[in-house]
Amino acid sequence: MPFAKETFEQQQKTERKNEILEMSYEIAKILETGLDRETLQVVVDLLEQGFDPSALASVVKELTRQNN
Amino acid sequence: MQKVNNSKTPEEATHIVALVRQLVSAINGNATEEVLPSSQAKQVRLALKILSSRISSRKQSYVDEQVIVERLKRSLAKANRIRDAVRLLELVNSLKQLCDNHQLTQVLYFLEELAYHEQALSHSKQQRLANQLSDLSLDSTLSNSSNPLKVSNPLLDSAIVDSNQVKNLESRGNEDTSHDDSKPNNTVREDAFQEYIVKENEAYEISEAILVREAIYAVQGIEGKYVKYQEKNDEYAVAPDIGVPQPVRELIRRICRMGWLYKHLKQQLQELQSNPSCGTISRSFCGAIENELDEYYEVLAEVEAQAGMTNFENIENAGLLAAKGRDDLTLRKLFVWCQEPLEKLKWLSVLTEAAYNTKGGALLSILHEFTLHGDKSIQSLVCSILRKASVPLFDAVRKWILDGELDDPYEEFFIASRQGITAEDIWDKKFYIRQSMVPSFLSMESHLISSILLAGKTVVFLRKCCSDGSWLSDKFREPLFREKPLGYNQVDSLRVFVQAACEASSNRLKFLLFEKFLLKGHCIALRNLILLGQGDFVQNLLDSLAADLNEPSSDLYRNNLLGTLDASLRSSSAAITIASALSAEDSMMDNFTNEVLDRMDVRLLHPSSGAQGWDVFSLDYRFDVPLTSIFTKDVMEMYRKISRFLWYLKRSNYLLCTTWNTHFLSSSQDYKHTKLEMKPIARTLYNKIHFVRMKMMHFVENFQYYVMFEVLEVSWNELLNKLQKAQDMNELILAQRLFISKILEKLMLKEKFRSQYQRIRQLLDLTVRYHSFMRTWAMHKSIEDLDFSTEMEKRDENLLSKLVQIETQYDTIFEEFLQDLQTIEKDEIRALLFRLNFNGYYSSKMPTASQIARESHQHLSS
Repeated sequence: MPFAKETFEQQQKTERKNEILEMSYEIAKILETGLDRETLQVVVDLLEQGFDPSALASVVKELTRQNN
Repeated sequence: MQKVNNSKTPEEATHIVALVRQLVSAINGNATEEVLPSSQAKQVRLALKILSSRISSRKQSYVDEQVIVERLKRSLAKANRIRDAVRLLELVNSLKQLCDNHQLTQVLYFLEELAYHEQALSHSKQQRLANQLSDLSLDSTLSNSSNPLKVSNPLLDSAIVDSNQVKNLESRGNEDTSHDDSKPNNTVREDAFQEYIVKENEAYEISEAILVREAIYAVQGIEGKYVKYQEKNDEYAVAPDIGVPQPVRELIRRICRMGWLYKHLKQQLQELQSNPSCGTISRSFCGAIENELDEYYEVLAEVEAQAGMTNFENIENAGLLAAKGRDDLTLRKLFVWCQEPLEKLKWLSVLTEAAYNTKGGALLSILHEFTLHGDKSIQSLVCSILRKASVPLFDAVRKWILDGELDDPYEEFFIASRQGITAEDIWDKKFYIRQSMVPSFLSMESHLISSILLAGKTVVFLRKCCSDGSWLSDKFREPLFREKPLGYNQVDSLRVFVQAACEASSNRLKFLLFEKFLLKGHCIALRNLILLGQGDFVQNLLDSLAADLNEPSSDLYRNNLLGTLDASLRSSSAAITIASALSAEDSMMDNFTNEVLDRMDVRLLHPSSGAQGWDVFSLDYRFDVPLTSIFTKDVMEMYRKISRFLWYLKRSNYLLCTTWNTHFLSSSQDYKHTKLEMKPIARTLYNKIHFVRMKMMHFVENFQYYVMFEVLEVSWNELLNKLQKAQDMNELILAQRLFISKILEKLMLKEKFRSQYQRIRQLLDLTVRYHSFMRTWAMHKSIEDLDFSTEMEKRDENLLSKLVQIETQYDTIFEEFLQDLQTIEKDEIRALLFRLNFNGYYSSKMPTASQIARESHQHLSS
């Protein structure tokens, strides 16, 4: 094969990520946050980077407010 | 609380930015593109800003995911969503297994924050619609239309309730941005946040880079898109309707102060230059200021380059970079940089203001005051401006000194000339120092200023009066032209230059005066002819004129007198004396002596009735330019005064001599008769005549000796010395004046010696009377020989009484004169007094000082 294959670990990692995302998305839906999957994905990534959740929350709130 | 940005590497930073962009585009519903539309870019910036700030940080140390879950559960339970609560718990549990605790906490926290956000959003949207509708519809249908909206949406009602709950949720925790205690706690954070958003949002309406650019334009006095000239406050500021945060506004305003200064300065310069009477010095001053402004421009250009203003595509990136705190030109940096040029501009403005209504040397004086400032940089600034501004002044000085030209249409120079001055007065009156225009750095050097005046005057004099144009273009003056240009702060070299110029031109003038115009020769001529130094000439003249001058003055004719004068001049050895005194070549001397003899003149004073010729006659000497500057009208007047006095003296002498003649002749006749036959009266008369004559002779001769030798000769020597040593024209003039005034004083012709002078005149008058008496006596004598009757005795008695009268008068006056002389404290007068005293004869007759004192004492005490 010319291109590199994903290792098993990497596959597992992505799978887990997706699971986490799904569950978070469900929680988000229950709590009626109005987020969609994509946004949530980015948010989770940013949180991983270590950003302050409430700051992030304010950002999202503000941006959504502006878009309306 | 973690701070994110500081510990990140650049790659991570870019990754974060990418993520944020993704977020924004996701929220906006677009796919992530490479180049974002501007609104999204703004949002990205905003997001970054908020993320890097602390406004939303909450103390989280005590928060645990358990707590959060509990909270959420409770809220759901309250909303009667039991199933959802259960589901939530399930999800959380499974998540716990998948990811670590911390991450879960963060996510839950985040989600909690955003809980019910959707409804809040839709609620606000509905509210807005409702407002719009109510605005549009009429009052009657208002309640109807709004009500259905309200009623038909139970979800909305619950949403309203829920949003309240959301607010409650958010009210938990302490916020560090709460600043208003009066408001209820739950809204404080919201408000703070909103304010922040608003401010930050506005900040990004215009990026800092653009503001920097605008500020740089403002600093040059150009209005930009946002920074305009505000009429109200007379300053440059950001237009008030544009969204720029307050501190930034203030910063820009301060930077723009420089722009205002610049504009103001330009205005002032404009005014100065448009003023029609603004002279060359003002113009060069303006030029210097403009030079400074040009330098200012250059520095500005550098700053512009640094701000990347040359390349417009960089603006966007610059904004981003600036937001990230990169090393680029920010407003703050601009402000700090501005301080130094601001200082400079301030001083330039002050200088221009001070220079407003002045010109010429006064302007330079004012500028010079500013150099006394303590700060070195200001000092050097003012110095350089002053140097440039004083260039016209020094040019003018140079031109004046070297060429004697004064080109001063604006009256800026400190040497000025008067109009309408005749050639005679050029030296004296034409040029003067305009004191107001003397710059203060030269005002201490009054000698320098007067030397400048002298040097220029000499050159002008040479050109105009001595018609010596050739010398001015001579190569002798080459070294002067090669001098370094003079400037401000080079007073020493100026002094040297002026000195050299003075010397050169004065030497030339002296040379001309002595060689070409034979100044010395004229002085000698004056001495000999006017001051009656030439004995044979005087004698001759007296002989010829005696008869004429006895006539009443109205009968005299100048022409006749002139002819007589001429004759006696030529017949005397006056010419030879002068020639020998000058010891010059014969050919030249002939010309000169002819000239001299031509210049001699007779001047008749105003004939008054009853005045004799003797009273109005005086000799005169005509001068031409340039010598009239030395022998001015008043000097000549004094000469004539002295001349007349001396003439009178000589006349007395002459008359007494003639009486001797008469006496001798008549007495020789008497020898024919024996002495024994003479009557006693006749004998007394005889004796007395001798006696009186001798007394008078004694006085006149001694006085003449005094005049001729002790007064005239001494002063004459002094004059010759001074003429030799004189450096310049001023000294020559001074020497002449001194000579004359000394003579005047010693001859007691000045006002303070009036009484003495009168006595002398009276004595001399008496000699005249004596002379006329002698003539009558002589006439009598001639008849007497033929007639020996008693009538003669009576006549003799008459004559005797007359003579006695004359004698007593003479005696009293003479004694008084001597007493007067005693009051003069001069050595020469003392000597004169001694001689006149006739071996103590008179002083023994006069009471001594102690006797006078005794008498006056007795008089007082009695």
